[in-house]
Amino acid sequence: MAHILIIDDEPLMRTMLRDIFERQGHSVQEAPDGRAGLALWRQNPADVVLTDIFMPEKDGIEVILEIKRSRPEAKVAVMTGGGQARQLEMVPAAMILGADRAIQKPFDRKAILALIGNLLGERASPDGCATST
Amino acid sequence: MTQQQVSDEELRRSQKMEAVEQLAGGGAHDFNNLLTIIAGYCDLLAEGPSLTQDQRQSIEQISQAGQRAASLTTQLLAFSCRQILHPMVLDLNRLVATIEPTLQTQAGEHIAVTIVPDQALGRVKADPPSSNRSS
Repeated sequence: MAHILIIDDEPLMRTMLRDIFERQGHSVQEAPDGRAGLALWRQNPADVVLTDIFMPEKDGIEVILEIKRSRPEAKVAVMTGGGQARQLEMVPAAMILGADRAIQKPFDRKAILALIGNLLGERASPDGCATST
Repeated sequence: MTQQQVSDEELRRSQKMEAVEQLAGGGAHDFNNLLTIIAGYCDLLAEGPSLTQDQRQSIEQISQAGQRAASLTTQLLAFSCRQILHPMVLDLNRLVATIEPTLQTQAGEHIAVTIVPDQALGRVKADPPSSNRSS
């Protein structure tokens, strides 16, 4: 089982993801923005970091940069809400800067578990919809 | 309707479309967050071992409604994506020259518009339609 850090400014999103991951036996920490997320990361580096891109304080891009700089082997996935053009444009940027996976909202339980499974090197479900752009 | 009125109307229509597209894009983002939460909890609820058939059907109905909403969001997104920028290197002198007739029309017949290009002006990287709108 893995230790997962969720960084998203939407409280209900964090709670829902925590419920999904904890039911799978993973341990979860959560933060409402990049600054708080990185503080948690420094105290207790997670196996997987799942971060939103646009957030107050530090955004997801800064999270990727700092985590990959201090620990290149760390696994980081970004979530994007799509919505605005600049958000879609940020996904390739996030991948270039070191994100290991990207997933676009809305996603379901199967897709996010497949993404985490892939990142952990486990066998993902064959019909999982996680994207690895 | 005069040429001036036509130009004003086109400008108003363009600004209105721009506002609607921005609203659609922002709305799609918020909806995607909410739809992810709805889908996630539907999946978690459906795992319950002691659900009745009626309860399972209700969860399935919520899930299907969420999927239809996601489809609508995709359409909103497609609409707002017309705003995606395609920056390219531009010669602003040439760009301004192309809109000289429009500027003259908007200025009216009692005002003469004279454009004096700066030959030393460097090139910029920008989205041509945006540059056009802001000029």
